[in-house]
Amino acid sequence: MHKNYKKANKSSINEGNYVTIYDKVIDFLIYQWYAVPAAFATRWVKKIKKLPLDRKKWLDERARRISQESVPVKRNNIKKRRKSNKTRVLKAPEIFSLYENPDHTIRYFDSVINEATKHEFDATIFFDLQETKIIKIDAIMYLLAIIQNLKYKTVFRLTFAGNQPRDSEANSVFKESGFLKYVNSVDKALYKTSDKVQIATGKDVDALISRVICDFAIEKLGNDYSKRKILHPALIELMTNTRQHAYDSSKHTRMTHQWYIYTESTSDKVNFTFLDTGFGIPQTVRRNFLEIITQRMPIFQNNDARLIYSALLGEFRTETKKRNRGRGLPYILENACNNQLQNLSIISGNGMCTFGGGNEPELRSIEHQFMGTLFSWSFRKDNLEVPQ
Amino acid sequence: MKFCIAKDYTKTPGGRFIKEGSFSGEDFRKKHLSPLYLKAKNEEEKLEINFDGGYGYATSFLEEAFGGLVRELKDPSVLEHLSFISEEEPGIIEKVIEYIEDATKEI
Repeated sequence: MHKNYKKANKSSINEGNYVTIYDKVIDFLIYQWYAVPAAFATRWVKKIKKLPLDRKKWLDERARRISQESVPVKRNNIKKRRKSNKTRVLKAPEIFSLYENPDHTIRYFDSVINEATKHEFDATIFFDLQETKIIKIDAIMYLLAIIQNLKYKTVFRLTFAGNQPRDSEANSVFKESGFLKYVNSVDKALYKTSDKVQIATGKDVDALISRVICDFAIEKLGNDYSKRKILHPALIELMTNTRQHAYDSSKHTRMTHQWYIYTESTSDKVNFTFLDTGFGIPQTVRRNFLEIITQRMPIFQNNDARLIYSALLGEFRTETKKRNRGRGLPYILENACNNQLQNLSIISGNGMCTFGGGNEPELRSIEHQFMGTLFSWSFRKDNLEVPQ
Repeated sequence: MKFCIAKDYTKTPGGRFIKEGSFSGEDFRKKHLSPLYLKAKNEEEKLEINFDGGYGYATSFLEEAFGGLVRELKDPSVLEHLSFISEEEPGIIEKVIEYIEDATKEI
């Protein structure tokens, strides 16, 4: 027996402590941990020595086969079988865009989330994008947000897989978005172009990301430095809103809190898209009793769109109920009305609010509820006034 | 006494609270604005804040920094000891004064 073990036992007995068999077993395991494998090894060596030569060869061969082939192949087979049984192929719409085809696109995302929240272990959700003809950055961002933010992903060991659009134009939009750098892909080459700031993401208010985007935009706008005085505060306001309001810690959410931003330069403008996957403006603003009751009634059209517009107007909608808060969205509206942020468009809940240049927005109702808020706007390169 | 935010603090101010991210209004107020304001007040000077040279200021940053100063110190005479310079964005001065006045009404 080990010296320490003897010592420990002796001292405990001398002191008159009550020592159970369980304690002895635990002590033995602690002090004699190396003795068990050593005993097994000695027995095994004795056994091998007694075996005839053929038997030894057979054992060696068996050990080699097990270590080299059998074990990994078996595991892979199990994984493949599991995946094949639980793979859900979800075909994306031909026009995959939240602005151009909101109902079909949101319905698609709903089906993805429904499949993912079926509480099924080891399931695979396959995004079939092959037949997609038009794909826009907003849809790619939301797809990425689902893959990254869905809380059920780790709990139920979900796997997301997919393919790329066959259409060459849609394929280049997909690759250049930077989507592939967030997923495991064979096509790992980063399709960076000088005309895009690929999808960036964060949780907190990130002034440095805002700076990168501002510098990119200013360069593309011919070093018009006045624009960054509008753009940087707007980005900070949106990040702050996401951090403060979009994700209520007291309510159950299916998504973790995160925002996504994408910027691209085209021939005549620089476009910006900002997304969060929180509760959305209509759910997080303060509503009166009548608004809460009529919000889901189909006869009261554009309710959510009206709530978005009302929040933009700053009609004391802030959830914090503090007078000094809720100034971020009015700042965005002010710049949209001054034509500084052009073509501002917001989707949230069941509403869409689009500013075409005038003071009054176009309010539109969406059939399926969009979980989150999507902002997009642009800066014209020639600095021309948009015709009213 | 002079303080240029872009030179002495950051060119890219952030949001409202320290917990929300770097270069927030609360951080600016606690590290710079509040100590400098008290120093200026003790010395019976005016603290001159220069807003030029940066990437622009979010309303949440400005409100938390200047409105927050009034709320923190519970001092209705904040405007008497502050002066502002903003040649690039003159509108900022109006906003800051509005935030200070609103916060003064609440204390």
